[in-house]
Amino acid sequence: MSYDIVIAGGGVIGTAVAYYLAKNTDFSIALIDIKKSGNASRASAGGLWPIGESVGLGCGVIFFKTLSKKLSENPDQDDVPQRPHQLPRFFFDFCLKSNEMFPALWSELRESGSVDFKLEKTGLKFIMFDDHDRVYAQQIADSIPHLSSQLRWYDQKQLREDEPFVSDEAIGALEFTRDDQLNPYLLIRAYREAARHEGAVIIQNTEVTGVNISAGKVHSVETVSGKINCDLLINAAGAWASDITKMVLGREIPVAPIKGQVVLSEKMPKIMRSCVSTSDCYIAQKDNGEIYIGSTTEEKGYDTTCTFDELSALSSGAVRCFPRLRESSIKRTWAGLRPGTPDEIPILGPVSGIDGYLNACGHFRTGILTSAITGEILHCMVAGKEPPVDVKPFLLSRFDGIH
Amino acid sequence: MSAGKQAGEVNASVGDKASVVVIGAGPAGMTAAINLAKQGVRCTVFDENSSLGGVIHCGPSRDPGKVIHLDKKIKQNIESIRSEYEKYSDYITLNLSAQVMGATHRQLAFLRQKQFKTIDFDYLVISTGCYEKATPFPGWTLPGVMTLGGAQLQVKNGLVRPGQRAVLVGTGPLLPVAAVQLQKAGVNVAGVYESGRRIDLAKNIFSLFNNIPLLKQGLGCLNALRNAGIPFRYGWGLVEARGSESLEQVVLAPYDNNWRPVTEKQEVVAADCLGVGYGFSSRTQLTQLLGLEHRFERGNEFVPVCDEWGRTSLQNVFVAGDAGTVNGAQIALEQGKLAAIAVLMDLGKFTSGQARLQAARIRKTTKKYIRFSKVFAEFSRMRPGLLDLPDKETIVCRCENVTKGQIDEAIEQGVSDITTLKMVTRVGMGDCQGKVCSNYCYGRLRQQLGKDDVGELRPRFPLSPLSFDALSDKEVSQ
Repeated sequence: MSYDIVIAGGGVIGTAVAYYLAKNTDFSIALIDIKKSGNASRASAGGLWPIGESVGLGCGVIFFKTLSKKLSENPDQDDVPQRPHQLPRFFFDFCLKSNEMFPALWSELRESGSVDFKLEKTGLKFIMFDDHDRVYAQQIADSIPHLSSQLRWYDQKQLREDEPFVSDEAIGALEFTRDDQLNPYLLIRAYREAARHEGAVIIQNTEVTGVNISAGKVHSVETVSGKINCDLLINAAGAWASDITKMVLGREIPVAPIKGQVVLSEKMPKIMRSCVSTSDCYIAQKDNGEIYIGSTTEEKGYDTTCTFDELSALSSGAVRCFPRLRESSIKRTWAGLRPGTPDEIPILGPVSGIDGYLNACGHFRTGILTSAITGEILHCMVAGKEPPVDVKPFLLSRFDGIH
Repeated sequence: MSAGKQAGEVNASVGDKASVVVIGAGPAGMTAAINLAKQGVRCTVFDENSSLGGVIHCGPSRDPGKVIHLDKKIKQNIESIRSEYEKYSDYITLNLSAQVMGATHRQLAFLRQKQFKTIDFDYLVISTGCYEKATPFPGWTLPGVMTLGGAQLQVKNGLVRPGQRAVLVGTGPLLPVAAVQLQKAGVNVAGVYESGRRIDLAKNIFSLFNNIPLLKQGLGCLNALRNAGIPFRYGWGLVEARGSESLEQVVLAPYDNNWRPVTEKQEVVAADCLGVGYGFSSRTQLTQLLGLEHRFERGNEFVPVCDEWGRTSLQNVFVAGDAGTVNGAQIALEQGKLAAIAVLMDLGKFTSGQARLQAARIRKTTKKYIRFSKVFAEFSRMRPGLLDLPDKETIVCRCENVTKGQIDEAIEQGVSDITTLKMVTRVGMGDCQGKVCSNYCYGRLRQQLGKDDVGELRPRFPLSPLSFDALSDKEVSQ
């Protein structure tokens, strides 16, 4: 078997890269996918929350809560951040640009792969219960003056009108009006079907077991189904990215699995207009009525066990915000492994000293959201075009000298 | 598929303080509990039913003597389980009406009296038994169509007659037994259709003599049917069920060697009740949730991998009885003993020599039962025609309304494992988590792709829907 490009990993990043390359170039492409327990794309809730995620809401909120608890227990300690955990401006732009791509992508993928990934304009509300929450929200708003047109404040009365099922204890909300959602499985399927339609070959249930390099250049990969010759290998292996770099670079890269547990409700009547984040959890109701409640941030290696204390805490958080949930049932729970990096920024692009290799990994908790721009950036890199953002801060070399 | 084994190491010095949890108060689970108690080891037993004995002894208000399908040997065994439990009840904490919701390698979660609780364990014995396979065919979702065991239980529990005029179809020993029970309860049984061929039983007649009580009981049932004028036809099976609001007619035909209906010879029988019984599957929800290693056995049976003691791929987790492989109550009793002996050996109560000696005796008794059970396993083995029975529009996954046509279309488009099939079609994403449809889906994938390994549809916590109320008010026991 011979292809110009081999993509390792069939999650949201791998399929997005396959789609953008297949659509915009003439290269022959093979995507190699294996189902691993904890695959983050399958575990995702499907939030498109560029502001929410960049300011540490969504999955990041529990992380912040841990910090503020530490702060209230040790008021004199000064190494504890007193502000929400915010990511750098270039990452904000990266997220926002990707988010803007989705409406067009939605129509595009329905046409070329005939899969509708159910993009919903919802907004994301941060629901406030006390003064701590209000201070937190105010700090977020103050730190992003350039995005004020995408913010909307609700007092208690307005919130009740907009979200009648939110608890009476809520005192208001801050909404990011352009943070939306989609169905993550369908997004992956939409990318995959469209990529296939554009000529990419999908090799399922197959794992890359070796990479052959000569004269500093990748020329083939070994898989359980045989050797595949290629000129370029793209690493989109998610939490398992280091398994690939060990074969290519002879070393690991700083991508590690960060476990997130999620609770899913049975199908319910529509009780939420927006997606919601509180300081306990995020809550998102999908088009079929199921409600996702997430998620923990745990460093437990590749363990994907669901633990009762954590699930109980998430459930309590959701019930506190939507008391109506008490009457309903939990249908399923699971844990996914986000591909985390130390600075929470993805690792994209080439690595010095090796030809025929590109990274497309380390997307942590924003893989669904940033899949579109990642596909576009990788396509530009391959085609020798100018990428839509400066890729320098995303290169692996940013970690050089840091240990 | 296999889980890390490191979590299973148990410190033998835990001794009498070890926490042993048994799931299932049927023949296997209770025998395990009693044999542990006899050596002074305490355990906690959970069962979803309100009385002990398991499904084999369902119908709490009835005297087991009146339940005709229990042969004398099993009846005696169940009676001795009850009396031995009374004797050792100081050592056995019985939690009835408790629903197991999930487990980690060290903790079990359950719901009892609407409260969600967890219990830590050092050893876990899983004896959750089996459930009846669902067989999709055109019309199977009509009211009046039910599993054979479902029809039988309605009569055994003395609640209601499942219909006025019944047709029973399927394979295996339960078929004549259920027919006699329904007939005695006043149901007009229009006919019994066994898809297996008589010749396949006849050629193994000598193996059947390994379990004379069961053989006699089966022949007795067939005889009773003959006397009542109820036709019992070998080599026949379903084509479809018809009716507008509920079941009105059952279409049946002779089956060829692959269980494909010869439709030129089909017959239409009027009925308002159809019991369909194509055998039983091990209840593997919990063993799968724990991430234990599993394999396919006897064609399409998905079962946990166990050693001769019932020890699974996790050192401290055992499986006993039908939860491991469906072989019936007699073998389950013996496997309960084996699991107990292995735990006692781990705890230092038995030397490995003592344990092996006892085990050898037990295995000698189970051997002949297994020979008997294997004849029926082969006779009743699901043939490929059954997978072609549903038509394009037939719903296979009843929770998410996924049709057979959608499943086949996904396979044609290149889906080659059950996880992707789930993502693409939503099979198994409903409340039952694939309990009903996974058997068909595994079979269909394996048949269409011509390969064994099609992945695993893994159930998640909670194994049954659990209220937010209960989980958010969680308390930790022990």
